[in-house]
Amino acid sequence: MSFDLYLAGLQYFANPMMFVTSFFGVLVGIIFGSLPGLTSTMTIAVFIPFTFGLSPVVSFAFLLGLYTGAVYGGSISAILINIPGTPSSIATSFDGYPLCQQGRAGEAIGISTVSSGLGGFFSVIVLSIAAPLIASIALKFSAEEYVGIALIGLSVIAIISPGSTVKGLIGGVLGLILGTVGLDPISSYPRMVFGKAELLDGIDSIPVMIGVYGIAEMFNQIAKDEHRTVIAQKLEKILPSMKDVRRLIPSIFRSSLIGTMIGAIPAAGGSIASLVAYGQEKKFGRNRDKLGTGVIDGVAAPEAANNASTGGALIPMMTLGVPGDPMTAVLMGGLIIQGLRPGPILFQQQMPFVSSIFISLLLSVVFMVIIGLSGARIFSRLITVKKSILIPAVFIFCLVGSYAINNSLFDVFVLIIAGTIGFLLKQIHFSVAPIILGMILGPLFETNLRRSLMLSEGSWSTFVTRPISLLFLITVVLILAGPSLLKLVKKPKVQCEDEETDDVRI
Amino acid sequence: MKRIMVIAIALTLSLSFGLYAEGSQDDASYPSKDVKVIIPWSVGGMTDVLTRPITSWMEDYLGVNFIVENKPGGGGVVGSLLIENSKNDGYIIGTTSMSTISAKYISPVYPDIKKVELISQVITIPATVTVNADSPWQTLEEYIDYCKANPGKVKNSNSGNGASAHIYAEIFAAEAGIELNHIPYAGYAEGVTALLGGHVDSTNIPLPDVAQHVESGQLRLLAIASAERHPDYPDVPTLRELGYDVVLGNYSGFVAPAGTDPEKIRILDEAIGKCMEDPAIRTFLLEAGYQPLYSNHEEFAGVVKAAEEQLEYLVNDLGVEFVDD
Repeated sequence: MSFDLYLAGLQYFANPMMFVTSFFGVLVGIIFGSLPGLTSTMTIAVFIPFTFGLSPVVSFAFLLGLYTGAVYGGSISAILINIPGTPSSIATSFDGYPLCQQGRAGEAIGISTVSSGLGGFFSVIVLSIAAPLIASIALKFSAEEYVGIALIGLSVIAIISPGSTVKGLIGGVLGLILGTVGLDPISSYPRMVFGKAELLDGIDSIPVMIGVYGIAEMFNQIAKDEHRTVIAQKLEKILPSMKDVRRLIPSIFRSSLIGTMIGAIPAAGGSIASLVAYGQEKKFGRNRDKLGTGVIDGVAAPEAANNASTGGALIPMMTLGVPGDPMTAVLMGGLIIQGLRPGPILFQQQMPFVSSIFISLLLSVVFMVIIGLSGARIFSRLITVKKSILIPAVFIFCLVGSYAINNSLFDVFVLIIAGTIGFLLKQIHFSVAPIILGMILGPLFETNLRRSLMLSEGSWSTFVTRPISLLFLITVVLILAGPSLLKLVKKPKVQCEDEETDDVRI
Repeated sequence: MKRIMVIAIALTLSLSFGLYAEGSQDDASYPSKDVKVIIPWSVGGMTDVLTRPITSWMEDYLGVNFIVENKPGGGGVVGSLLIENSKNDGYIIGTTSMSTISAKYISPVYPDIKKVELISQVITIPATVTVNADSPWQTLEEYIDYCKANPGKVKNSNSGNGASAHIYAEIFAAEAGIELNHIPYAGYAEGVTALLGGHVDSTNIPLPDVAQHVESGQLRLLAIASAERHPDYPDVPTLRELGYDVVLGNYSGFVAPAGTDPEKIRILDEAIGKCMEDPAIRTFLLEAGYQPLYSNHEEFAGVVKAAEEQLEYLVNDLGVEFVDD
């Protein structure tokens, strides 16, 4: 790859419009992403029609700003009110919200911003240096490997679910069942459709997520009369200390790597990336025993991963013309409308434009860090907004947000039902994260398991004869059996009290 | 006081509604107010991308706004049903494609093409026979010979059981007398990716989604299923030339709810026809990978009928079952 192709894109730095639209993109993205109920996919879909009149470079700077901003912004509401703004910040709430309850919301937002920035920066670098290489590796992933990834995701549910493991697994199974609704992905047979056209595609996990987090949490606050208490926030410390950052660098690096790789695999995406990153932190992190009780490590890992996945998801989109997740699918439409068809030809022939994408992404990471750090104080003050105003506002955002994804009233009903069930589950100390993860991972697992067997003409050995698939399966075994294997080797020192904990934070 | 307020509000509402209704009856010059365009597919999808430039051209030409509304879901079923059940005053129109008529073979709820008036067709998307560039097959004959020697061994990716690319593959296989191992994927892009990665051997996914991989040298086009050769690929033969008398492909066009005034249909059809003559629109569609093809509402009816017959033939004569339970 010749270097002057990259230099050709540098001329765009002289285009002030690009800076302006990128800045506004990030700002709008953060605001929308941080509003509970308004997800990143919805944000991009809503704003794409506004870019039709703009030039491709300028409009894409705006859209990438939105993308980066919204993925980051989702962490703010996860930390402040325990409602992840987007699916990829579910894992952020595990430690982010406890931090907020300790009065350390500012610190949590600070570390989330820094690690998001580092994760985003990491993925831009990887994207600009190695995109074609990574794309060719991702191409080698067939159905068997997707089965492996889905299994890793499912086994991570068992590790990360806070509180009772059994309840976590029950939630996971519930999610898997919900994930079977709709036309069967292989034979198109309608399952649990009840004659509803809206159910043919299955139950969208986004309104369910908004419901079990947003609506249920608001019901919870009303029921518990928590709306009178406000936790005093210490706002002196926003910027994490150099000591903390230095300590977290290895884990941020690991998470960024996980985020970029998982993001680059089409159909995986940020929600799985942040989850796996949190899971590995809980296994290997230095503070693994305290994870879930409110430590900054638990915010840094998923945030680095979900922002690293943004660059990762752009890899298959730009090099192959295959979107990595729903957000990049919408972004790709935005590019095609501009008369540019992402894919190998764009990558080979429109290198200046491609390098303008790298620059836009880099700009949005920079703007994200600037806006995030300077706004952290304002954001964490939001929590002191009177609950009598906050709760109805969250309800409205949830309603609007779930309607706007598909312009569908049906999704609003899904939201309300999910919210009610989510509230009831909270009363019996059930964590809802596994339900959402089951819904996302279930179809991925089922479709690819069946597809693998079609490809191999029914032979199960295909899962162990393919090296990457075998590697994933070994990882799954280690994740699930690892602790007991370790116990066999070492004598247990402390009794596991996992089942006793009554701590439901999500 | 409260009661007066209620009456006042009720009056205002009914008045404004009355005015609105009156406005819509006064159609001396259609269109006189904004037209809503329902796209049954998502923002940034194939139909969305080709529809928006056309509707924005029509805004300038007809002097009213064309407001695009995406109603995705169920592979186009949700939005298509919505179009059918909309008011037929000419101010709500929508888009259609082959999946609107093929839905009835897989879905328990499906739209009926007879419940809409066809306005015009705007593009055609020819199916292909595409293989990986690393594969040994240089011509369609070699490919078919291999398939005949190894029945059911050649893996062919499609866009879902009963979806368009599966329909093309079944008809092509029947015409060529071969047996394929059909592997369903979630959509065109995923099916093409599987071919790029070498996980399947061939595909019948239409040209726009394979074109750039053919240009970049990763995939090889063995044949195109259109009536005539494609201007961009003059060396690639059509299936018809090779002795398989099938033309396979998708289309996209505009429709209005059944019972819409024929005069209004004519006005819209004429405007779309003018739009399709605009070189800027043609260039845009070609560069985005589509093949612009304008047919007026009568010709479009023929296109849809031919597609329906093809599906009937597939299901009744070839006995293909999309759902095996």
